[in-house]
Amino acid sequence: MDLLVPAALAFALIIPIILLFYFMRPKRQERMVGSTLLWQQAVQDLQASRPWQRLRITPLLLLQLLAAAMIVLILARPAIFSNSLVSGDTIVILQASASMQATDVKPNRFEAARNQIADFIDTLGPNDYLSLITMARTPQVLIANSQNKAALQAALQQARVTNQDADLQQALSLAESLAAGHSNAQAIVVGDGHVLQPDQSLNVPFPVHYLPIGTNAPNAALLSLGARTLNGQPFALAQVANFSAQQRSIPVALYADGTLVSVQTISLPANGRGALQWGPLKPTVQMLHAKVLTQDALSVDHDAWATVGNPMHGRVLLVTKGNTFLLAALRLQPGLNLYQTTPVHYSSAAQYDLTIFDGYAPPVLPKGNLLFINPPAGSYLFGQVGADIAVSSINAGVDDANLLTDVDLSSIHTLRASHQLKPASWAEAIVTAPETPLLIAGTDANQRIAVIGFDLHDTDLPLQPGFPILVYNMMQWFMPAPAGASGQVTAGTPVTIQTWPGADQVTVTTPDHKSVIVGPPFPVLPFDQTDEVGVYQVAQRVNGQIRYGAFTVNLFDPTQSQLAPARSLPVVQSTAISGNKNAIPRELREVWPWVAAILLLVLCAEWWLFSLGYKKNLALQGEGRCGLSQQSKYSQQYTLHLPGPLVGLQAEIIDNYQATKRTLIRGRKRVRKAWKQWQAHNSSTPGGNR
Amino acid sequence: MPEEYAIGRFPLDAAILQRLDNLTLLTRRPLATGRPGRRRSPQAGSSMEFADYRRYAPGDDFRRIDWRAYARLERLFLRVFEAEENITISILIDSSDSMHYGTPAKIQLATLIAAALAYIALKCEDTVVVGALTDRLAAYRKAGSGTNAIWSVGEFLNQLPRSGKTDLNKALYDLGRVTSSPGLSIVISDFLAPGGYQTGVRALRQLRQEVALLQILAPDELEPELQGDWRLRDSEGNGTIDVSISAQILQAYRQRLSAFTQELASFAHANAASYSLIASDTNILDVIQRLLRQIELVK
Repeated sequence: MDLLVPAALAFALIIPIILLFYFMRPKRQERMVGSTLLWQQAVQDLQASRPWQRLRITPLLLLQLLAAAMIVLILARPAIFSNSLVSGDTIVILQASASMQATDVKPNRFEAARNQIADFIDTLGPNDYLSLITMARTPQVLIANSQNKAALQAALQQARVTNQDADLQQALSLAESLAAGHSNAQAIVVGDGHVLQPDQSLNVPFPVHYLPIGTNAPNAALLSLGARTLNGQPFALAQVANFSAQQRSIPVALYADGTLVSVQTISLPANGRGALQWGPLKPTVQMLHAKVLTQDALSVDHDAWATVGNPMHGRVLLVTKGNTFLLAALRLQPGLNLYQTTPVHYSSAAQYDLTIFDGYAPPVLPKGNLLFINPPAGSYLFGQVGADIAVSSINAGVDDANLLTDVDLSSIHTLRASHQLKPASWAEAIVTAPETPLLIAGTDANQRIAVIGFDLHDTDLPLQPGFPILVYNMMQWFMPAPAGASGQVTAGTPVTIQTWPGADQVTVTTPDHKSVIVGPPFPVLPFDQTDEVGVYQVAQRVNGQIRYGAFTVNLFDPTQSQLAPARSLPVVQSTAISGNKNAIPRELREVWPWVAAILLLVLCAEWWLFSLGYKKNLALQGEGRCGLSQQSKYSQQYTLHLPGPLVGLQAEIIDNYQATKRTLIRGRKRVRKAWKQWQAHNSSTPGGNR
Repeated sequence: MPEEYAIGRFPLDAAILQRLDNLTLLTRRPLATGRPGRRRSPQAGSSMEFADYRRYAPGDDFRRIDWRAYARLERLFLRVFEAEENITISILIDSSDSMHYGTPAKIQLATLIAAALAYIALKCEDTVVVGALTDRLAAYRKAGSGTNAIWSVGEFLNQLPRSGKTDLNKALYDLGRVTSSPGLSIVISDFLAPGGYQTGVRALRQLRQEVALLQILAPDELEPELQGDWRLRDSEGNGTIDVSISAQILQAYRQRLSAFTQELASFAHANAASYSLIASDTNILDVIQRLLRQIELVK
């Protein structure tokens, strides 16, 4: 045991000093006196009036001295070395990913981890510093290098669990920056070890300890949900996983636009995965919701949402004399409202999201996105269109717009000539030939324009499988879905909202009905409030009209759904610890509360002993008074110092006197009683009182 | 026996005795002993001293008829004369070790007082019993009338036995073995007995004794002149006590002494006894002629 304030032990000197005064006796001369009777009485009188007396070692004195010694000890702040996980400069990394919501540890893993860290804070010594970091997709420092226990506890309470995954590398990088300059730094990761890239091997310049939280609890999870078209009809597909050591039958319900389609049960082996299909669904279905109906430790992976097609339906006008291939490709695109007219009947009065001019260019270009196919020669907004030129080969150019995704240009065999295109500076050549760009695209003043410089009839491109894909890609570029083609985002992932050209306000509504205006400004910043799983509504105001779209956020993370805690972290030289078994360096822990508790018991015992002696004294005083008076009464009258033979006579005389006195008292009572009865009898009978 | 007591055969010299010739020991009331003497008896007798008249009844001695009274009153009255008796004066001296303490020693004055009282009593033709009190009635001598009585008393007083402890109660009670008739008992002691004195004095009263308590204390017992730190040892072996002399302790001692003497005086009064406190350095004549006269023990 150590004493944090050893100087306080100086207070203990007062105890022996006081005792010393009592023990010291002055030297005395001896003198004979006639009788010490009066001197003894005088000294007793004086001692009774003095504030002090001769020291007598009694249990009460010992208890009081013990209490005084304990008070002195408390003032000296005794402390003992105790095993503790935190020592020196410690960075505690609290895992706040989706799997920490599991309730296999009550109330849940995150709260259990938080309680464990709270215990760490309580054991902090005077030379310990603690930093707190929450580990999710993006680590967050709650408090850095503090030894203020109250501040640490308050910061710990601010931590929140998320639906995100856990990026250990980023968290350790942040910890490394906090540990810079501290030679005795260490990190403790509290969580279940389900981190990104579990196969990596991270190396940090300080020891990392891993405190696993959780159990190998069974869990059923949805890993994917989507829609596909078979024979022109929509079907829903879901992938289900059984993260448990036993075979399970897992029921899954599917809702289409909020209406229950059906419940299907899939039987999966231990740690197995399987797929479920619903359909055909209604052609107009726009939103799918799958739900696992079993109860287990983690529920955030029991729900999944998916949009069907492009949730934002655009108005497209095709101006052509006739193009069967183009018309067929456009009709295959989901989410399009297709209109058709001829160049003769074309009018720019109506507003369309996309206008496709096939072999025609009006003198006044309409608002909205524009697609020119085989435009006449001339000078346009997108550049110069010249005379036809022979094309020797077709190559892919700079495809920032991803128009050529899954498009095989090598399948085009016939393309002899194309208009010579001189694109504007804002346009890029998507498909090029050595002689001239063949396909250019770009955005100018919130207007997207693409130009195909050749006639589709002069090439076998419309006959290739890549042509509808090219048309699809172009439609997605002209009228993008808010969160990309799939419309699905992993929880916590920032989403770049694909705004339509001409949009002047974009609003995102989260699943908990919170609306966030993400634009203006434009271009909109990535939307990062995607921790909540569910459907996010996107509203864009384009040319005065509100266009509604949506994207979904799902967990879809097998790493988080597998609840069994990881055995170790992907960190070089990391050690897994359990409770206090592998405690690191010892730390001083103050024990004064225990000493204070013992002091309280000592004081109770002292009070009890004192009250016991007080009651005894009261009893003895009362008995003494009575006994003394009785003794003095008889001793004054009868007790004499008699020679031996007369002692017995004296006792007999005393006994006889007492017996006689008792007899007389009894007789007197009887006489009184008889007298009263006689009086009562006389007063009740006629002629009484005679 | 201390050498100072070996002066002569009687502790008092002739000059002092001459001063005691005219003194008489008094009792509070007449005591009927049945022995002829020079003290008034509570009973009527045939002495020469007229006491009272009473009416003549047939059978009375006609020679005792007072004719002058008949001449005046024309009724027959008899003259009644007082009876005179003598009593036993018991002079009890505490001869324990505590009485030998003091400057001068208390036993010296006690012996002189005893001798003086014995002389006065013998001159009044009373019987004298002198006794030595320790933890019992250690010794006693009875002296009646006669010329050798005074010397017998003197010899006894010069050879008082000495014992360590004091038990006045037992010692006074032992007087019952010596005397059984009413009388006067004079106890000369310092009364500093741990066991007290009350029982013994009551025992004397029960023996129909009139009691006189003469307490003798040494001057340094009355006014201690100690200073410093002392260990006081009791002369009778009743232990020691460590005392740091201070004004407070001396005040406490005086208070205790005053309470003790007052208690003794109150007890004497309550038991119809006489009491006097005498310092051991008081002159014997002053004791007899003033102090004892004040308490009406002598006249």
